[in-house]
Amino acid sequence: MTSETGAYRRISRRETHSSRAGWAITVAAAVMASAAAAGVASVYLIVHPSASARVRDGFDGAAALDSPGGHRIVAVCVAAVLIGIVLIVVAVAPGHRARRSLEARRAVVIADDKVIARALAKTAAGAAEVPRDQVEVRVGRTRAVVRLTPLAGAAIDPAAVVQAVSSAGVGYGLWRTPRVLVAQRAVVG
Amino acid sequence: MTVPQEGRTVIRAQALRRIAQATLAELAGVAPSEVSVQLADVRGALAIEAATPIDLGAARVSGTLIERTAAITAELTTRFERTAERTVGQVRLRLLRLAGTQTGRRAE
Repeated sequence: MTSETGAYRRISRRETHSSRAGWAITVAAAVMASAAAAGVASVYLIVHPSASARVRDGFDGAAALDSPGGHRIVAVCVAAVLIGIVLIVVAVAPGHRARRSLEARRAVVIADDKVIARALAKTAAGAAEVPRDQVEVRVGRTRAVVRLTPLAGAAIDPAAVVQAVSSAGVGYGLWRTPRVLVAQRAVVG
Repeated sequence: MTVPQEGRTVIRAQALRRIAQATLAELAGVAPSEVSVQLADVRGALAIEAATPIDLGAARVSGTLIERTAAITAELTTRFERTAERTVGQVRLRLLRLAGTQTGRRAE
């Protein structure tokens, strides 16, 4: 039973998150390559002390940032830093997919967020007493946003919609109070 | 007698227009086909814009023409709100001509 629970958890995680392996490998390879380059360079400078003077001259030249060489070096550095930040963020970020796992006893149940949004739209339409095509629901990780277009002459009670959608959404991990937006312009029907 | 728990009734624009048309026709004493009705939204309430001939003999209201028009407008609002369960924000009623036995029929 314990192993089953573990398997369920693993499968559920696989389905709800996208793999970060490729990105993590890229970052690791980049770190390894720069470490190796730094190692090689330091050994080289120890073995050939004269080279160290040449390197210093090179940096002095580049330090004059107005020179074309200086511009190029700055541009390359900035680009490298940006690429590095992006890589690290992507490799470490959780990689949520737009789906979630639902509670079930003896199975792993994964629902796409679109399905949840449809279900909540139905609930909202019922609470607001408007046709389904006048409801738009967006589902985030922890909160749903409901947009309603009222019928002319039939006021919507936003509190009732909030109530209905939030109690329906709790089971889907939407624990934050939903946002309910009622359009200014109504339609006749 | 079981009351259904699920389900919802939505009255679409076309049906609402027909309700207004039939009600107004009855009040003005003319055929529904002679009444034209447009519905719109005014800040969340329903606006009825209608044009109809009036038959002074058959109309369900009395008084001067202005009084009758006001009475028709008020009665249309009341009946429409009761039938369709929608709040009417404004009614704009245009009388096109006098119809009916005394004047209209002969002129046509």
